[in-house]
Amino acid sequence: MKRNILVAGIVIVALAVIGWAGVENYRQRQVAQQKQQELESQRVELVPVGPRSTDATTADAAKGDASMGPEMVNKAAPEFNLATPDGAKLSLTALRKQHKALMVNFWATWCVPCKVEMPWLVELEKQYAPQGLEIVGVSEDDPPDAADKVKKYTAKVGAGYPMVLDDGSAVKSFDVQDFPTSFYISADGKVVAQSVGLVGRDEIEANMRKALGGK
Amino acid sequence: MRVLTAFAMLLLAMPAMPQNFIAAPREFVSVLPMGPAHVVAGRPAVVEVHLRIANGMHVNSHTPSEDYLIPTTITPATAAGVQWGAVEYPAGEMRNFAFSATEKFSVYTGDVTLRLRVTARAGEHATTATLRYQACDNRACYPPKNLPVQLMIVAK
Repeated sequence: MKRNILVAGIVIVALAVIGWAGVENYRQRQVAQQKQQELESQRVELVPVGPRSTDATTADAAKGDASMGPEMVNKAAPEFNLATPDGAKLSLTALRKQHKALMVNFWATWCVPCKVEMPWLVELEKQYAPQGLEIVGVSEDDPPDAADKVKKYTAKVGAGYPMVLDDGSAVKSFDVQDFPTSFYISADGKVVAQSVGLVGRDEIEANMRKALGGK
Repeated sequence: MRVLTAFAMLLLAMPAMPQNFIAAPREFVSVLPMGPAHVVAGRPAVVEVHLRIANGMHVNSHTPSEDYLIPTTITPATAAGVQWGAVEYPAGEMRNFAFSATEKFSVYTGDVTLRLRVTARAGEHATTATLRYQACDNRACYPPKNLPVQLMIVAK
């Protein structure tokens, strides 16, 4: 008799635990779906000058944004060693040795927002190069004609800063999903700011200054 | 009694903790469910593929306004007994976006139907097609994607 009561008790407890697990699972799914819907609604309303840029002070706030990927701010910039459109090799380490600060700009010729900001980058590169800033464009165009497309377009807009052709490794190590995405790297090799999607020219300039050690 | 004990053990062995919710990967275009396409054997017919483009997103039309933009295409796989003809793509919608206030682009948004011309031999033909598209929203673009599309053609 006692054994039956014990077993019945165990069954009741087990059913209660399973019921709780089901309710909790449902609740978590609701929360996640709501969050996803909020993100989608933000996506629709975002405009080029939106607050998509992240720096050390706003990095924590952006961690919940699924579109941002893992936050790179305050972390060491991942190394890359990629081919240029002319077939040479160019690494982040080599660029860091030559320049005080870097902007790594992920883009592609099929990306219209990327092309909106490129003339700004051309101007800003000229303005801040004397202070030690260099821009490197990482193209996500697919082979076999990536080099030709990049050469043609950069010549058209007069982008004289270095370009490399990503083989899939840089976009992975920087965890880039949206184009354009830019990382601003200071003299110590750390990412001090990151912007996802098209942001305003002023914001790009502010991030460049930050990488150069200004505020 | 033994049955009751075994049932209790089984319940206890089941995972009690809720599973972590994993957000689905971002899909910009989905193919709406479609049943088999019933056609007359040996006669030209049309198979429709219905696409749904996520809210707030757009993809380039089949004839984008600039040559550097990646067009939307659908390419049926070669299948025995199935002869594919030309694909009919809808005209793009000329729109400008927050990043291009002055320039308009030929795009698809919302629901889009692609019409695949086909002639099939009598029988059931399970085949596939590859949808290629490149999506953007108002602030960013996303790499081109290839989406497999399952097609079933029943020819009588």
